Amino acid sequence: MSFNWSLMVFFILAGISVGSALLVVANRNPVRSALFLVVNFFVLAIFFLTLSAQFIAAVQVIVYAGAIMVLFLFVIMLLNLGAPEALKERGGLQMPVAIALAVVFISSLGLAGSLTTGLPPTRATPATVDGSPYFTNRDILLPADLAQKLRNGADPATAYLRDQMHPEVQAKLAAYRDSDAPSVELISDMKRELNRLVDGPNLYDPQRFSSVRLSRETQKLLNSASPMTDRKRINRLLLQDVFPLEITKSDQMGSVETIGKAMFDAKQPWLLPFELTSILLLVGIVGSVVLARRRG
Amino acid sequence: MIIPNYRLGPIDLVTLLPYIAMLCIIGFILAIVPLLIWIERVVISLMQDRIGPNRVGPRGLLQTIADGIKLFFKEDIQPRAVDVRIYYLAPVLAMIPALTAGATLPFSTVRFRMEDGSVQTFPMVVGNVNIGILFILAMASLQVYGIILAGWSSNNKYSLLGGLRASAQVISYELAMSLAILSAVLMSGSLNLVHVVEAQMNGFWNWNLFAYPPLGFIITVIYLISMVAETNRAPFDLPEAESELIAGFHTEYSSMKFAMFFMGEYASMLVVSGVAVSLWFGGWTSPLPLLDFIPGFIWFLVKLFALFFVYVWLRASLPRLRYDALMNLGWKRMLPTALVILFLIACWNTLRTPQAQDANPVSEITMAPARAAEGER
Repeated sequence: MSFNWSLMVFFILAGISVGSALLVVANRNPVRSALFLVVNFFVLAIFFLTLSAQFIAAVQVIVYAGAIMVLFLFVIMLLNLGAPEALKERGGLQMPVAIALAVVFISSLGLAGSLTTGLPPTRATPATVDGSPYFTNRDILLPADLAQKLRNGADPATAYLRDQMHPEVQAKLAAYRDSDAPSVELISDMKRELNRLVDGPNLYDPQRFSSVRLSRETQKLLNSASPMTDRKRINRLLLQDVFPLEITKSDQMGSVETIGKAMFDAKQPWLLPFELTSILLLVGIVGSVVLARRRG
Repeated sequence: MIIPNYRLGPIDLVTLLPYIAMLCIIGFILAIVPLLIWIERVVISLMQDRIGPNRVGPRGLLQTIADGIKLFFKEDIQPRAVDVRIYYLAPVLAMIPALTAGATLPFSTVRFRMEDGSVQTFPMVVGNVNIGILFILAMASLQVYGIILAGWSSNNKYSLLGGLRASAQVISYELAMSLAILSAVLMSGSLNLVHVVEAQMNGFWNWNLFAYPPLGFIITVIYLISMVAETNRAPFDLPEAESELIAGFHTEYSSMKFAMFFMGEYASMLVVSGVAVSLWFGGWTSPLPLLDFIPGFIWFLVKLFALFFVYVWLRASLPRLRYDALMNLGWKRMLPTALVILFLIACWNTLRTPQAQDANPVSEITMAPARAAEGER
C-alpha cells in the first residue's frame, strides 16, 4: 500500500488546529490567545482548500482571520487588561461547567462517530482525484441544468451524448420541464447513463467536439496517450468539458461559479434563506450605525 | 515572441511555468527594492529642488545597497521589555504575506510552439486559480498583523499608538478597496486576474479605466487612494508619523528586522500596484495593438513603475492627513461612493445584457487548446 500523503497532510493540519485551539483557551495573555485563534482560522481555511472549496477558504481568511480578528486585537489592546495574572479565574462555577460541557461534547462526538461507521464512507474528494473515472450522485452539481442541457442538445456533443443514452432515460429527459427540480430518480438515471458513457468506446471525435472548450488536461491526454488504455479517463474528462459547471471537475467543486450558480438558482432551495440572511445582516449594520451615532 | 520548443530535453516547460513565475516574482520584488528606494529619493529631491543621493556609485545608484549592507552589519538590539516571540514574529508577518500575494498576479504571457505546430499562449502566473483576486485580498488583510503586533510587542506607547492607528486605518480602507476591486470584477466578469486582463486586450480604450464612463475612472481613483492608505504610505503614513510618534510601530526595531519592515512595505506597494495594473490598466497587454510585439512583462513593468511614480509624487506633494480627516475620507466619502458605483455598474450590466448570467466569459488563453484542436484537423 502506498503512503497516503493526503491523510498525512490532514493529520498535520488537524494537529495544528487542535493545538492552537487549546492554546487559545490555555493562554493567560489575551493577545496571544487571539493570535492562536488567527492560526486556528488560517488552518481551517487550508482544510477548506484540501476539500477543494477555494471560495470558502478565501472568504474564511478575509472575513475571520483578516477582519474580525484584527478588530478583536484592536479591542484587546484598547481595553488595557493589565497584568495577565489579574485575569486568573478565582473560584466560581466556570471551571466545573466548562469541564462538564467538554465531556458532553466529546462523548456526543464519539456517539456521532459510532453511528456513522455503519454507513458507506462518503467521498470528500471528487472521483478524478482518487483515480476512479465514475460519477456518483454527488458529482452532479447542478442536476437541473444538466437535464436541461441534455434535453435541448443544443450543440453536437450534447446531442450525441443524449442519443447514446438509454431510450427510457431519453424519454424522461424529454418530459423534464424547466420549472420543476429533477427527481432523485432522474439524477440517478443520468449518473448511470454518464457512467455507461465513460465505460463505452472513446467518445472523442473532432467534428463532434468542435464547439466544446477542451481543457489542457484533456488535450494532453488526447495527444499523447494511446487511446485504448486511457479510454475511461478520456471519456470522463470529455464529459467534464461538455458540462463544465454541471458536473464535478477535480478543482471546481467549491469554485465561485458553482457556488454562485447554486446560490442564486431559483430552482434550488437556498435563494430565499440566503437573501433573508443578507437582509438580517443589513438590519444589523443599520442598527450599529444608529447605536454609534453621536447624541445631540 | 514565440518560444520555438515547449520541451527542453525531457522537461516540459509548460508545467514548469508556475515555478519560473514564482522565482520571477520573489526575485523581482527582493531585487527591485533598492532601485525603488533610489528612484524615490531621486524623484523627491528633484521635486524639492535638492540634489539627492550622488556619492555612492554612478548618480548615487549604489546608495541603497550601501545602506542595506550597513543595516545588515548593525547590532541587533533587543529592548528589555519586549514580548520576545511576537517581537521577532512581527517583521516576518509584515513581509511574507506581501510576497505570497504575488502568487496570483499574472505579469506576462509566453507563447510556445507545441508539438503539432500550433502556437499556444500561457499566462505567467504562479497560481492561475479562479479565486485569484480573493487570494490577494486575503493576503493583504493578513499583512496588518505585522504592524499591529510590532506596535504591541515593543511595549512602547508610541509603537502601540502606531500599531492601533495602522489597524484602524487598514480596516477602514480595506472596505473601499474591496468594493473597488468588486467593481472591476463586475466589469470583467471574472475573479481570475488572467481573465480580467484578457477582457481588456487590444488597446487602451478597452481598459477598465475607461469602461462604463465615467464610473471606471472614479472607481480607479478610489482604488488608488485606498491602495496608498493600505500600504501606509504618505499622505496616509500615520502609523509611522515621525513628528508625533518618533517612528511609530518600528521605533524599537533595528538592523535587519527594521529592513524587513521596509522590504515588506515596498513588496506590498508593488503587489497592490500590480493589482491596480491588472484590474484597470490592462495588465501585461500593450496600450496600442500595433505595439503588441513588445513582450508583456515590459508593459507590466512600465505600468508598475508609473504607479510607483504616483506614490512618490503623492509623498512629495501632500502633507500628512489628520487622523479624523483620514477616517472621514474613508468612511464618509470613499465607501459610499464606491458602493453607489458598484450598484450602478451592476444595474448597467443587467440592463445592457439581460442574458449576462448565461454567457461564460470566454477566455483567450483557455480557448487556446480548443484552437489547437482546430489546427490539428
